[in-house]
Amino acid sequence: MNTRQTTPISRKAAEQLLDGAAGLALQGPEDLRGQDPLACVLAAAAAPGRDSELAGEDMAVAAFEASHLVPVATSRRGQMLKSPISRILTGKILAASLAVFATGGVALAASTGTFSGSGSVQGDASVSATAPAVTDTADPFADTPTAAAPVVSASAAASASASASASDTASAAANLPQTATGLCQALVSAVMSAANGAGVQASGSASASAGATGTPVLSVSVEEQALSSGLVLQVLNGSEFASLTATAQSSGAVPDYCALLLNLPQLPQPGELAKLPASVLSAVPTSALSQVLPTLPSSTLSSVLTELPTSNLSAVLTALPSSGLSSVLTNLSSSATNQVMTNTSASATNQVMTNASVSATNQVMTEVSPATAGTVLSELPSSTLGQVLSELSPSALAQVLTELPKSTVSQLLSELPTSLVSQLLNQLPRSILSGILSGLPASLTGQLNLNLTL
Amino acid sequence: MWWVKRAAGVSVRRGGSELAGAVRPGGADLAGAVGRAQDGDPEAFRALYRDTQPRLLRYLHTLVGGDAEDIASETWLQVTRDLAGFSGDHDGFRGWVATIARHRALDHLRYHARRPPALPVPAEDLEAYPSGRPAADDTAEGALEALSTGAALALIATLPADQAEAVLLRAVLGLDAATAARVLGKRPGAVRTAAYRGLRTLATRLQSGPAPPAAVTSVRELTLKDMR
Repeated sequence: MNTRQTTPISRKAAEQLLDGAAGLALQGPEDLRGQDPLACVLAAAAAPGRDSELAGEDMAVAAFEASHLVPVATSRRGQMLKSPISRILTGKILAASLAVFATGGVALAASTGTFSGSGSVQGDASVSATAPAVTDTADPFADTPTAAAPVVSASAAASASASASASDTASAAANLPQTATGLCQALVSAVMSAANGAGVQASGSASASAGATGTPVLSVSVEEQALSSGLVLQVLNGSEFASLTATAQSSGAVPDYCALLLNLPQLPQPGELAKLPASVLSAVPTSALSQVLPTLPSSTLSSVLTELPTSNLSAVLTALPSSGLSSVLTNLSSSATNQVMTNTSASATNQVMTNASVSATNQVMTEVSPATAGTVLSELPSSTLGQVLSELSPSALAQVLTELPKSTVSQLLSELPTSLVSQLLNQLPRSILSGILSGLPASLTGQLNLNLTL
Repeated sequence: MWWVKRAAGVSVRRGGSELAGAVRPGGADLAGAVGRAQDGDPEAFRALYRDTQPRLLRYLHTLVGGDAEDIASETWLQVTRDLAGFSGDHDGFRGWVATIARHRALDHLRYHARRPPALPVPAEDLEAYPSGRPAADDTAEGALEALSTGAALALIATLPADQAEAVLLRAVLGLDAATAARVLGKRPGAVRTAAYRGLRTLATRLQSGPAPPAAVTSVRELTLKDMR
């Protein structure tokens, strides 16, 4: 296969070179030494892939997995020309809407209409209070209406967008109520797309790609993976996500914010959640926040729960299942436990104390200050009060009863059946019991059936 | 999706016998990967991606320069979406992916060539389109030992577009003449001739000494006409 000749190479030699390029590419430099320069050029061009060329591998696989969840059969035929145009439209409308946002008017932002998922429906009502309201623009990849329509059927407005955008005109962009949730979906898709292409492109292409990946319903794992990716920060540099960053007040808090809005069971950066302003945090759907609370590190959990206003705190705590609630309560720092129990509404306190595990109840009641313990116990109806006090270990019960003001103790105990009070007090060491009894009115102590005689 | 339709019931790799003896990276491992990926096996898809993506990027770089990664992303998204409808083996798969990528690249170039005046291109898109060809800096990046992949691609990119495409589809994508012809929408004979002419030109240039850097930077603009 020597082509080092003055006459041009033969057709046969050319065919052999072309077919053999991949094989030559696998050989080491030593093996290529004797080869002619043309073979070396072809071998170099066909060299095995470099890591930089495979940077988007994980995201491509994630997109593959996502698309397999929702089988999509559709043809792009005849639509090829439209996507760049809609891409421009999206970019232009986006730019205009962000300009409006920047000048303090009604905030507009873009999302692709084809997004769906449980998070978006949930997020709409509560998020719009703090997040900028968003208006949809033309779906940049509107050539997949057959895919989009079933996906978004949960929302009438969204399906309207899917069918309208199929016509692929600017006017098709019906003014849809859109949310930060939609932007988060777009962010996920843009990250996937960026990782796919091993590079973050400027805003126009990011939003276009967002539409493409948004076609299938993204699986939770795909969303988690995308939001955990280091590419998020790069993608957030694009102007179309400026409102998200502004809402979260820092780009570092956006992944967690989006994870909440997308109702993901875990946050990508649980430690960063505390960076979210309390106002934003309280606008997040309660169920989404409750869901992630047990996964948070202690310091973040303490910071988040102490920042929440009473109504949100109560809602979040009462939305937790028993196991999650117990884990949250035991994870809180002592000072945070105290503040949280003070801030919680009476009815929520009742529910929390009813649902919490025995160990959580013990921890809470011994960690809070005497004043808080008094407040908490006084807020409880007698049935819950009896349950809580019965669950306390003898040492915890002793601590609580000795630290509380005597008037509070006597008031609490007088609410309970005397048999229960007798049972509770009989657990206590004699020295403590006598101290407690000395503060109780004779009317109460007279009815008790205690193991000791005074 | 002409490829899918035409490929149905037809052996995609006509003329595959020409490739007997040619070593293909991972060829043996990838034999059943297409079928497994169609069944939803992510690892099979990963194997296909690893094999195809570097080749695809190099081919696309010659067509659209710095936008290659963008076009490749779009291509893979379409591949994941339409994979169920694909029929063919691994070689056919690479041809199919190359076809999708080429269509997207043509759309990209067509769009930039005749953009509607009422809709100005965003500044960032214009920046990405100083030239349909990669700048010398792009392709020369990441130099390997003696002759880097980038330098080799830059050299191939100096060929007329039809010859460059034929050479890349054959040597880099690893397609046989018939499959490359299908990607390009031409007859296999025309593709063979184009590739042959391309290699002859390259051989002549290499004989007259190492390609001067100027030869790489003075690449003529790729036009739509070249690609048709």
